[in-house]
Amino acid sequence: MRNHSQTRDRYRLGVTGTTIAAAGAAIVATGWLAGCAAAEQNDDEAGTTPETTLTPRPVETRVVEQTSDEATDPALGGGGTVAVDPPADLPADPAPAAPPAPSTGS
Amino acid sequence: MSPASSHTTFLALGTSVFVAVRDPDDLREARRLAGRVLTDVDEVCSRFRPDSDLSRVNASPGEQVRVDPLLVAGVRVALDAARATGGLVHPLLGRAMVVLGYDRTFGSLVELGDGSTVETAMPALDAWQQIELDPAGTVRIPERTSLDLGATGKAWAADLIAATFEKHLDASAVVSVGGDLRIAHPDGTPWSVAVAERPGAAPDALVTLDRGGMATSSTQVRRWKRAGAQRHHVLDPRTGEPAAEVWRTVTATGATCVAANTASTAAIVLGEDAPAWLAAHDVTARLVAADGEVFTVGDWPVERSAA
Repeated sequence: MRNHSQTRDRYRLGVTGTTIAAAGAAIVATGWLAGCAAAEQNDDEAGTTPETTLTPRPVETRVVEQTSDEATDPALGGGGTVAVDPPADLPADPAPAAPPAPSTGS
Repeated sequence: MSPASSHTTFLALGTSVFVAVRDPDDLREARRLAGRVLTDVDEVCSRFRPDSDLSRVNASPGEQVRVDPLLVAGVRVALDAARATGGLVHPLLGRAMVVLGYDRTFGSLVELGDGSTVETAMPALDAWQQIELDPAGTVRIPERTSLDLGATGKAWAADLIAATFEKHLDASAVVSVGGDLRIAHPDGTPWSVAVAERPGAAPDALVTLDRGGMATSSTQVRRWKRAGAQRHHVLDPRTGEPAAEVWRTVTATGATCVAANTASTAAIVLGEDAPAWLAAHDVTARLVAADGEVFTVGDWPVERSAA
């Protein structure tokens, strides 16, 4: 198994130097970090003091916690009822079911 | 008297996202929830981001890579789609996409007229069965393959958003991610849906949907040229080439948006076999042939029945 030492993650630890100043917190580098710390740089150390940003990361992402078996049901069919001639009192702004326009982004 | 504004549109995942709520007071929270989900999906699952977990998996084929559990969930959904379609909706077409020219965000694609012979790097039709998942947070893909969740990603994001709405909102809502839509908290009152072949065009059909998901797959929008040949983004895993354009657009329904999108994508790939296949899987769908003639399957209202 490959365990990237610099695995990209939304809550990442980046250490690029030797001196870290953290206000009242101990840093334990065992993988995912459970707390927050902020690095402060003294003007005298500008350019030599590394900047470390630590943010909390839950064991599971918040989105995964909210998924359900039904939300990912692979069975085909079973869709809702499609009808025409919507009642006059329905909102006039329909949800689009059209392929997406090419655009920049992911 | 017009009702208070109850919908919003914004950009995410390289596409337009539409959110509508039954209770206008829910709109702000719904927008926030949807944005949060889409940010997570983009950061973890995008093949166009070199820092995504998916890109790290693709950088180490054949190796077990530790990833965000969200990617494990997304791959599981893609595997379910492959299983349901016998591999026609295939999650390992990343390299083939790159070889064919779809190697960057679509807004950046240009005509690639290098004239060189293009050889696709197609995995076996059943290669997806070799993908290994560990719910604790690892993914391994076969060597010489590349993961691409484009076939199910937007629909899956719509389902995730709807699940989030069901947890945090009390009233009904609908979300459309690039035209793949899902209803949350169905309440017996249908939602209006505009079906169109092209974004921003006048609707080809204005229908209502009371629950579940609806998705549209099309060969008409994401097109480019490479070596002088027209390409579109719906690949046939059996040939490695863009699917023959028997149907230029298919709109399908399902219990979930992923189910709907799986059916619509498979229909494009299946071509002439699509109507029978859709009917056998109890899918309600609208198919637009290459010449523009419209056919329907299942309980799609009006228009000429194809099966």
